[in-house]
Amino acid sequence: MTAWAWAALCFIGAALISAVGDLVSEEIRGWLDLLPRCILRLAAARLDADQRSTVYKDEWLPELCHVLRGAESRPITRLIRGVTFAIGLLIAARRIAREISRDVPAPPIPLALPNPLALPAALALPALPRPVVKPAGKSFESFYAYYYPRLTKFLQVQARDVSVAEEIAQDAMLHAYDRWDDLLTYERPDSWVFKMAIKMLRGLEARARLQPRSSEDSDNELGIKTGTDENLSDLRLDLAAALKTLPRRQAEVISLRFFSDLTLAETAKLLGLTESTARYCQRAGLAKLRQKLDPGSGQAPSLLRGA
Amino acid sequence: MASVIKVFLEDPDQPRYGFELMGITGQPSGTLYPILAKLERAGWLTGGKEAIDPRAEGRPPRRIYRITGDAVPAARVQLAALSERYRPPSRRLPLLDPQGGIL
Repeated sequence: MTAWAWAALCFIGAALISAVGDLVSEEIRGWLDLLPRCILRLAAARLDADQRSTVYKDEWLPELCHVLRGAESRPITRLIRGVTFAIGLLIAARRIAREISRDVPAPPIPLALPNPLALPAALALPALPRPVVKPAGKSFESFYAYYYPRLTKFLQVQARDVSVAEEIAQDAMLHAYDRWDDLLTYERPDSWVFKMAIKMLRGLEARARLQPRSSEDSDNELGIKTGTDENLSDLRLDLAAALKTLPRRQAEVISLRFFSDLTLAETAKLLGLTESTARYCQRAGLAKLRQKLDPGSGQAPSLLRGA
Repeated sequence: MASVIKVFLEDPDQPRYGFELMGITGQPSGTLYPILAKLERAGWLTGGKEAIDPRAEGRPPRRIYRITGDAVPAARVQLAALSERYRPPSRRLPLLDPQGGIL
C-alpha cells in the first residue's frame, strides 16, 4: 500500500471518530436536558392524583420551562438550575400535597409568633418607623403630627421628665394653634414653637428656683422628679458623663441633632447660630465624646459613628 | 415566610412568580412552594395564570400570585409584630442640664 493510501485511510478514520464523538455528545446533551423534566415528573408522582394537573401542568412545568429558557445558551447553568429547581420540588412534593389537600379552613398565619399576647403588646409600641416626611401643607394637624414628638423629645432631654416635657410641648402647641393664621405668615413656624417651648421651660425653672427647696429635692433645682435614675443603662451613664464635660452650646447642638432628630439647618436656626457654627459645635462635641467614650481605639460607639 | 410576605407588601398590586420569589428571597423551591401553598390556602394569596399567548411565546403560561386586599393590613401587622419581637433592646438617652452641661 502506498503512502497516499495510508494518508487517505487515516483521514477517513479521523473524520469518522469526530462525527461519532459529536453524535455521542449530542445524545448526552439531549439526555441531560431531559434530566430536570424527569426529576420533575418524579416529583409530580409524589403528589395526589387529582393535584397533578393543577400543580404539575399549570405551575411546575411552565416554571421549569422558564428556568431552562433563561439559560438557553449556557448548558451547564441550565442543567444546574433545572435540576436544583426540580430536586427542591421532589423533596417538598409531599408537603405541598398536604398543604393543598387540606379541606379544613386554614389557621391564621402566625409568622413565628406563637404567643397571641405578643401581638397587642407589639402594637402598643411604636414598631412602625416614624413618618419623616415634613409637613408640606398648611394644616395645623400635619404640623403637629411632625413636630410634637420632636418637641417632646427635645424638652424631655432638657427637663429630665416626660410629664413636664409633654405638658410644655402641649402648651406650646396650643399657643401655636391659637395664632396659627399668623404663624403661617412666618418663615419658620417650627422655630417659633421651639423658642416658645424653651421660654416656657426657662420660666418654669426660674419659678422653681424662687420657691423654697424642700429637703428631698435639694439636689434637684427644678423640683422635677427624677425617678428613672435606677434604670440608667451603662451607655447612658457613659454618655451622660461624657456630655457633662462639653460646653453648653455643643451639648445643646448634639442634643437637638441626635436626640430630637433635627437637621443641622434646623438646629442652627433654633439656637440662633449660623449653620457653620452649629456644624463646628457638632463636630467638636462629637470628637470630644468619641474620645471620652472610647479613648483607646479612637472609635465612637455606633450611636455616634457616621454622624 | 416573612421574607415572602415582605416581597408582596412592597408592591401589593404586583403579581409575582415562584421562580422570581426564589431569586428575591434566596429560598430554594423546596422551601418556597410549600409557603406559597400555605399562604394561598390561608387566603392571603390568590393564584392566577399569566396572560400570554403560549404559541407566540413558545412556552406555557406561568402561574402568578397576588396578595389579597384583606391580607395586606393583617400582613403588615404581623410583620411589624415580628420586627418588634426581634428589635434589639433600646437604651435610655442621657439628660442635658437646662443650665448647660449634663445632669
